[in-house]
Amino acid sequence: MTRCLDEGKLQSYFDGELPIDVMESVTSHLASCAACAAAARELEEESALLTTAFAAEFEASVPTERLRQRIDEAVLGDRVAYAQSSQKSGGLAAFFSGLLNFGTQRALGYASLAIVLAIAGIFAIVKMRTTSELANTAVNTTVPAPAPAPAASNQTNNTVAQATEKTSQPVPETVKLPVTVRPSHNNGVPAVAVKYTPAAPKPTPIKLLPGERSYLQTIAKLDSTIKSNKNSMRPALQVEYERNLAVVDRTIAATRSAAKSNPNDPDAADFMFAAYQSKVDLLNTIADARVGGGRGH
Amino acid sequence: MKKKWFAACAVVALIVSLTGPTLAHENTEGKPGEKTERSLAVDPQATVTLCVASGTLTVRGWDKSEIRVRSLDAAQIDFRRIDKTKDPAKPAARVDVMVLDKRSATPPRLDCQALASVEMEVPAGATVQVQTRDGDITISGVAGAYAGSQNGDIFIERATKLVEAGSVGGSIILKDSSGRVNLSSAGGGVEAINVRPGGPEDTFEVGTVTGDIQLERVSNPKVTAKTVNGALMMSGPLAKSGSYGLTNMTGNIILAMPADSSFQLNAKVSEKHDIISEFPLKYLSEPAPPAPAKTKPQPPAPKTPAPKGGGPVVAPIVVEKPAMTMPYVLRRVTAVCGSGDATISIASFGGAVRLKKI
Repeated sequence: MTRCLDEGKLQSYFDGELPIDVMESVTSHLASCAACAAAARELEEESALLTTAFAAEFEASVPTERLRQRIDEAVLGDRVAYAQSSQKSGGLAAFFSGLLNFGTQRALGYASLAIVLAIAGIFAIVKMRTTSELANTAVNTTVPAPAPAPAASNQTNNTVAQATEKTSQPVPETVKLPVTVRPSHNNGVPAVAVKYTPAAPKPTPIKLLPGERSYLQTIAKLDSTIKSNKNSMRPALQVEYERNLAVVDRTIAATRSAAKSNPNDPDAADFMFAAYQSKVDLLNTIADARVGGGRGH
Repeated sequence: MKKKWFAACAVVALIVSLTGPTLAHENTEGKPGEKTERSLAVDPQATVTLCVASGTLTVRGWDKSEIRVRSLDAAQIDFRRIDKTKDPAKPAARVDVMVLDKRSATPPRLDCQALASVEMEVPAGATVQVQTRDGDITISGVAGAYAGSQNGDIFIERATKLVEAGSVGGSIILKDSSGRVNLSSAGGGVEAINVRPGGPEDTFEVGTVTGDIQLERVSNPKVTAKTVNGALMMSGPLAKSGSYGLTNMTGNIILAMPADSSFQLNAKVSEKHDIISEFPLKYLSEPAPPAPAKTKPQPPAPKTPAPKGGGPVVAPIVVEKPAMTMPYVLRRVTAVCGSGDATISIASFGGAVRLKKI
């Protein structure tokens, strides 16, 4: 990758939305391109700034609940006042005078409503901006949609991205950044809160652990070797392959989780690498079996 | 009279013409139900390869310096010498056995594509390399054996120098053999009984994914056994100064050893699972848990109940798992039994470890 990265692609990179091979190329590009690394840092600072700005809202578990409660109380009070006033006088003039009658509860309600509208407006503007950038990125880089959850037994992870995704379900992979542009957590709030959309599950990016990439690349090569054989795999071999592959993938996922949560434990990483090696061995065996073996001399 | 003489000659000529080709290819072409057999003089330490697409392969070592191949299914059996120096005066040192059925015998002749079961005798000092896709393989009494089958079972006995066997779904059994050993099966079980080293460098390696591993009286100086999900069991006396590396990702590991065994134990297991030992273990040290990450302070790892710094001899000891809530913590145990002659390194991510006396 020689061209500089555009902002949309960088944002997608931080959000873990790029496929693993694109992730790797972006990582390598960031390591070699000072301009893009500076842009990445700038983007990180922007994200951190926004995160700090909205920290108070994000710290509360469900901020709109309090607002809704206060609004409900205000509306209820307003209705009671309106009913009382309509009983007394009635008419359009009384209605408008009632609206302009700022009691304590009504003032609080209006203020809360204004805050909600302001926050919603900011989110809408930012969302529109990032959505258009993502659309441009999708045209240029064919960012795939989040892969569907594979059916455990009858899915063979066929690409590096898929393999990685299976091993780290349910979140997709991203690669470790050359500079720490994105803190993993900030008081429980993701650093990229700019693009936070509560309706859709937000993929949490996971960094590849040191040494993991070479295994993934080897696995991808072996997998492509197996697939390059145009002859369909015999059913007995297919069944055995998928059964064992599912077991190995589950083990990789478990050991990877342990290694990730215990980053300073070399033994945890050793277990993960042993699991990866088991997969490499299995794929080697299957690749040899598919080729047909021959006499081997 | 002339007509009768002419008719007799014609009949004789017809008979001769029909029987001629059969005599010329004696023992090489088989009809259905007939045994096809070929023999060839070879070097006593020859290397012989045999491969078919499907069928049972049986290889036996014998005291003759020749190979003999038989098959009921093959249409043709040929030998192909692949010696580097093809001196016709010397017996063949490297031979490919070409087994051809009716389909694969027609040009272009397809190697390793025959559907045929084959029996073969080779010199006892020979090394054989046999391969079949579906059938079983049986090898006995040879020096070296390389065997591969996708779904068939492999049985090898009385190999003297080396054994390498691999299967995807079939099981592997090795008995009464010596030398360097490497066995692997993805889904099938692997069993090795009474295996000895031929020399100090002869290692024993076995690996499976879901298949069980059972080792009994394996005395090679270095034994490595790995499985992802199968059960791993080893029984028998330990080799003096032997090195045993046993890894089971999610299954259990069981070691059954004589009561007077002497070994040093280096075990790494998950906190969730037990290490149960019937042997008196003297704990040498307890490595400190890994330092917590700077960015993510973690609660300190719970202490294991094992005594630290060379505690007293305790026998038998059961290292019970402590009550804990952490998702994953590795427990490391370094202990010695007796004078610690052999070294046993055990790693189990999700299974228990049991040391039993026999």
